[in-house]
Amino acid sequence: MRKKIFAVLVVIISVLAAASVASGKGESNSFTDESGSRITVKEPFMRIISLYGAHTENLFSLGLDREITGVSENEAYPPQAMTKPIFSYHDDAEKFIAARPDLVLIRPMIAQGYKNLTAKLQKAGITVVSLQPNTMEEVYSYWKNLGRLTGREIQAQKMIGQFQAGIREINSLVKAIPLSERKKVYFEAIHSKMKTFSPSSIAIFALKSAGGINVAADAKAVRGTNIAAYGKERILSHAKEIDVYLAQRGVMNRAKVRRIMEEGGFRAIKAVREGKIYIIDEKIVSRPTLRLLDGIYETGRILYPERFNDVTPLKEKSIITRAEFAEMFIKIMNIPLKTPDYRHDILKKPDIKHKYGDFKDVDYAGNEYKFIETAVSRGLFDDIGKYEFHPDMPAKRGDMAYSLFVYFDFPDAKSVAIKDVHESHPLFNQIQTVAGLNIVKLNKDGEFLPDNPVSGKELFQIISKAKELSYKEE
Amino acid sequence: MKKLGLIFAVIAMSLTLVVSSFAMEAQKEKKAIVLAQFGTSYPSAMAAITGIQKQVQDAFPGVKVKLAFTSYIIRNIWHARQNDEKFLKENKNISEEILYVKGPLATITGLQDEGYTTIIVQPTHVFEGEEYLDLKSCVEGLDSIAAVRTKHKPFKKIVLGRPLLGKKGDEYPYYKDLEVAAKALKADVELARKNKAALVYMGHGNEVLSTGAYIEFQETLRKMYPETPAYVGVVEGFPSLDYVVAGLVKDGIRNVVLKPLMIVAGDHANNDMAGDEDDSWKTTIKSKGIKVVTVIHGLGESSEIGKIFIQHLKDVARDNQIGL
Repeated sequence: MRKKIFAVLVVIISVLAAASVASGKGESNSFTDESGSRITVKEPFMRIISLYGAHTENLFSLGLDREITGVSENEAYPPQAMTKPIFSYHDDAEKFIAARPDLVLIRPMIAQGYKNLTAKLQKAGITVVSLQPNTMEEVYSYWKNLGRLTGREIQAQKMIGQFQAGIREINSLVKAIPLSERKKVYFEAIHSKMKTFSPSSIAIFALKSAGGINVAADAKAVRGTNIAAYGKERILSHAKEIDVYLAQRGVMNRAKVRRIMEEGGFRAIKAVREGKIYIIDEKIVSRPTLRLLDGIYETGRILYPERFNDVTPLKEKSIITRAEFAEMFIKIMNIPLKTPDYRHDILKKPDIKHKYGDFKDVDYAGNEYKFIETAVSRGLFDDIGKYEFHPDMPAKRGDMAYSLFVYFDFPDAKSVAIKDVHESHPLFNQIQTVAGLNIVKLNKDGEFLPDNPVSGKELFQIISKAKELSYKEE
Repeated sequence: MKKLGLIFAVIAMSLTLVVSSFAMEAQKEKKAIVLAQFGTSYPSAMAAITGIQKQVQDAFPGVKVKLAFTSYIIRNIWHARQNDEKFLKENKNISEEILYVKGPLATITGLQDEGYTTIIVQPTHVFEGEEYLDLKSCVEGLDSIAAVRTKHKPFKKIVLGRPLLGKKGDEYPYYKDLEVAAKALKADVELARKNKAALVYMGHGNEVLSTGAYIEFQETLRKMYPETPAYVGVVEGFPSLDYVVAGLVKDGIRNVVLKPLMIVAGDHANNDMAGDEDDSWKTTIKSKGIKVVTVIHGLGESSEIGKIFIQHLKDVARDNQIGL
């Protein structure tokens, strides 16, 4: 009898526990959105139209796909977003209503500018939720709210955990940098208006997390946004202390190094004189998605390349995989990370070989994808499929010759006799060049062994040698 | 004696009349040249444009020579610098004209407003493509503005010079223009020869009309310089990069000198041509095991090209009885 009671109790307790987990560890299932509306979630929403790229990306990160019924016009990441019908706040409410969404996710900018649309949608029984986190604290609650709306509270919690683990990892690198070596940075948001980011913004969080010191800490936010007016005079008042000039590139800031260099008066800025101007994609520094970690990492590489590009563990490997090859190459050469293109750019190239995010055998929640996609975008791999990269296969010596030849600009090489690589070999020219310049040594039998693997130590030496001989500057 | 005085007075008066009517005539005949192009926002790339402008001005010292940029975005970037004291201090070679540069339509009408009623528009376009044809429509439109009294017609004469690689018609056979251009580019062929390389030009091209001039220009180069393999491709339309690469591979080319066939080496030259992405011309050609040397200079930086535009100006002036 006791046993039975105990069993029943166990069942009841576990049911209760499961229920509490499902509803977000007992947290309330209602919250207030940016428009001040109280949103109560009775059932997870199942047909969602998202009018902001970051909302969409986060919904995919929460494991949703079928539920995403529509996206905004320029979305391309993850690649599944490109398969969804497009909606815009310029569209008639009827277009939305015809798609029968139960939830439309917007931003305050839309809520304020298109009141008519939101009112009509609400009248048609569609829940409209306006979300836009402006600080890092708000990002966590924003992810939780997305989880609440879609019944994915556990996944939202996991996202937060994953993000915080990433931050901890970067922190351990940053902590080792003496304060006297920390770089002072001006972070440009909009060039033509000389605007920076507000000190509490996500972008400045990214900068600080990467160990940078924001010189414009006195900037005041433009009402309700991440952006802060600063002005040329104030930028120039810090001219001597700015070690690095960082600019976001996006729809509202078509940043170019040359344009910053040629800006009147900017030659007074230390970073400009020293050529320390860098451009970073707005999508990885200003958006509240998991890829903000990529933005922080990339900022770290810009500020402290030698610390963030450490390849010591990879040098120990006896066989380098293709994923590791990509990571070593990108780190040793400090190549800027590739980020996904906008939809209109992808559509301009209909015969594109591969779309960022499309490899079925690459884990896009892991660490390697950013190096793989960057290496692929630079044309360093000859033999990629549309959907397969084969990250765990060993990198071959022939492939290595191909990558070196594509990336570096080598002087003329003397022709060498290679026993196992004849003129009919598809990589004949590339192998001749790297062997002729003695970047890759032949074995004692005069063979190149193009199908053999390469060790970490060997690869490090080869890339370093190639770097020495090349006249290319990154 | 009085009589003599009167005669003098009459002579003097009539002389004054002759002189002033001559002056009036000269005023009626105010002539200007408008050099029209896409434009560039980079002060460092402006040399290609101002170089041509100076050459043209030197060739026609008595004529006003104005620049016009067709790109609205580029014009705006320059306008924003008008009151940027720091920029102006550092870029003293940038003239007021560039800071206030307008589109062709506004430039032409502005000149008309100042009394210039004879205007030659000379584009620095490479071929008879979209930009040239749009400019042609604009010029023809202005030319068609009539007036009740002929003398009130806003433009006495407004005409358009032909682009670098010529235009359709039998007055100036386009294939002769191709030959002239090919001759002017001899230095590029020499550079390729020294590098034991093929010469590859990247033109702009177009997707909405035939770009045959480019492929024919390739043949002209090959005929004129048989010892140097030449290839011409375009960013938009035919012949595309794929077509060029297929040719290089088929012909067993191992080295390439790559240069823009554009007046200014701007974004196309830096990104589409010499960029690091996998789809740039440089990377795509290198992916075939071919070595590439990029030359990031616009055609406008060569005075040989400026001379061609001066000839095109002279031709259109002569054909329309405009004395320059």
